[in-house]
Amino acid sequence: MNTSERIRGSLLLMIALLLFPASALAQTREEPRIVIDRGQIEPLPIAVPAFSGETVEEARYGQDIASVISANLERSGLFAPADPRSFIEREIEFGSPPQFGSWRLIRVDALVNGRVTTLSDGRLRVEFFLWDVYGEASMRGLQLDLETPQSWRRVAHLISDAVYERLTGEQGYFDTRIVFIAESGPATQRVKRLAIMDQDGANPRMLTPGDFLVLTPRFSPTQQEIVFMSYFNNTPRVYLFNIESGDQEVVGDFPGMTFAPRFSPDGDQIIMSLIEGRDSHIYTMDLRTGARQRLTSGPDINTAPSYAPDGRFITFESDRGGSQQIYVMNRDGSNAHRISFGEGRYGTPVWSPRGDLIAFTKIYNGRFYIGVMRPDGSGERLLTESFLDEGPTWSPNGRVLMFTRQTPGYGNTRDSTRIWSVDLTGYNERPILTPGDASDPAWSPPIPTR
Amino acid sequence: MRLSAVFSALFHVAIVVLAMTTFANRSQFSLEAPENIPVELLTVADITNVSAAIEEAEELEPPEEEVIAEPEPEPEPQQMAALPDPVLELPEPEAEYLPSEDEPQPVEPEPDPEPTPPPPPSVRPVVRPQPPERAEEFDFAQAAALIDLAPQEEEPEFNLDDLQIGEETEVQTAERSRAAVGLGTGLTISEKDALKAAIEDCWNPPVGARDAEDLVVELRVHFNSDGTVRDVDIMDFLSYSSDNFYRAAAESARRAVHQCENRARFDGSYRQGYDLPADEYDSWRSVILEFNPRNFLGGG
Repeated sequence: MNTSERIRGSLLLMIALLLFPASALAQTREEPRIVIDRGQIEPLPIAVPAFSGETVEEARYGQDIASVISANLERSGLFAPADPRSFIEREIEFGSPPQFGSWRLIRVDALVNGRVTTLSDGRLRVEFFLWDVYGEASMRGLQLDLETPQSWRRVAHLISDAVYERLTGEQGYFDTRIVFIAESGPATQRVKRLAIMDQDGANPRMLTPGDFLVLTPRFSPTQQEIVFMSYFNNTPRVYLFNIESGDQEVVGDFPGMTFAPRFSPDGDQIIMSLIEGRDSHIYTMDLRTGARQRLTSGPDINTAPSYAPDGRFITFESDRGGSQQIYVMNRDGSNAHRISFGEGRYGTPVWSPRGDLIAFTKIYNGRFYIGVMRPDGSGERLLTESFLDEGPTWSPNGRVLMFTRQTPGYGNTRDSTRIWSVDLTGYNERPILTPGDASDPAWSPPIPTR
Repeated sequence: MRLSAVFSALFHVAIVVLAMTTFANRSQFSLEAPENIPVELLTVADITNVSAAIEEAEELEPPEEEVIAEPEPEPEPQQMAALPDPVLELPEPEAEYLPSEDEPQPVEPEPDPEPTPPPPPSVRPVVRPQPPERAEEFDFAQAAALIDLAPQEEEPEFNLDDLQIGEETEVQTAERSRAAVGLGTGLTISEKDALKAAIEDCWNPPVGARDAEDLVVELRVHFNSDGTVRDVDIMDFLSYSSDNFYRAAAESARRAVHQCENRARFDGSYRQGYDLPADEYDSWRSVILEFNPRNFLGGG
């Protein structure tokens, strides 16, 4: 009796559920439906007027912060900051909505409006609002207090990140650093020092003195640490370097030459190559226990390992098939399979931090290319081409690549080696300003905010 | 136990039966769907219909009663469209559909050949659509015509009435015939294309986002009758509030709708709002826009 009622009830419910989509269909069919499947790929027009300030000093910081934000957004290739001379509304009262119409007139989609004030304890406070000009609403607001005025540049990067994140949906990468190799001197006596700079090329500093060669620096994903290969004491070895303390230590006590190091995604392991006779093999070493594990075997050269962001797979290059190609294997070394099948040779694979792509260097017909492919080898796309492009490194959001580009000299001019960046879409290729020749860039994860 | 087994069996049978019946419904639905596609084409006939209405109206001018008689039968078959306008004519345009493209032309020549005093005012209103503002303009014209007529003829009041009745009926028939087709059919393919092109011109989707080509956004855009945008709803609010990539994509779509609302036309004139047929407002009062970047981002 009770059960039959229940059954009847559930039957009715089922009928209702089964009929529902039909009725919903009938309703939606009344509205015309239009598919928009084409669009423009253009940078988003944005306005970043100077942040306001009461005092001369505040106004100066306000001006500088706005111009760093503007430059960051412009450099990303995704934004087109409007010329401040075109602004109609010159003074926006902070916190109250701007005159959206006047910003629409100059065809701006978004507006960053901020101010700099001095707190009672003398510290600077920077605040901003991001306005949606067409939606006439505030999209983001943030307030940052500076420990010291010198960190104004970092504040500008943090605001750039916030604006970028809100408008693109992607994590920002402006508050990051690049470690690289600063090169100087003639080709026969090349001095290569470890150096670091902000992502926009500002604040370059040398980290090592230059009396020994340094190569292939890589950032730790979790610590302010760098792993690199150095000819310290004339033996090529992999070293760890702490950015904050300047301490340097060798990684593992391997008998032979170790090179091509990289951190595991959790930062607890180093994966690298070790030369054994005429071959090289890939090893991991646990930084806490010192335990090491060999992942490859056979009479081949296996090198340039890079972990997938989830740590389950490793991509590397190997000549086991007769030519230099890219392979993927499980983290324990099993199931190694080739993924690069295009013409030419492939090397230096680097797994994207967002996991969807592997960047590589390709050599074909004497030209060098930076490209990306999916981890299964499909969808290969070449982003750059030149006399010599190599060694890609990903921005932490997996959106931008930096790499080394060597340009041959003509007549009296020497070869030049510079760091370049390119967007994942293949657009927006541009050089990064460095004090001199620079190579081997490695992008840091976002700098932790305290 | 047995009881539950029996019930379980019954349930399964019920599910199968219901699935079959809904399948049957499905097929009915899919049968209906193709009917809708020719309906879009029908709107082209709307022009035909209007011109037909004009012709009828002119012919009918002398006998007013007949004009009135026309709209009367129309309301009967209203079942199809919820609105009171004549759906009666729906079958007719189908027949007239092919010649329709030629027919609109006669609309213009009509005023010329008619030398009699009443026609001039009657033609103008027919050409014009529903908007009430324009109706006022007609009144001015009518007033002017009346003033002219007043000194000339002895019985101005009679003329006044005649004229007004004549115009109203003509306008009404024109409006009704337009609406009759418009209501049932919605936007024509070319009108949809125009709207699509206008919005595509302003759509700047986020590129390079992970799986950006899969970020398909649906918006429901509510329009005012002048083609301006009243409101834009992002339909998948859950994704909007939880997924940053989706939010950025949805906002780029919404910006496109707002941004291209007011634009210069190719001929140099300026439009406020989208170019949409005012006499079919009911069919585009709200429109669903699907922003699908797969075609032009999927190339990678």
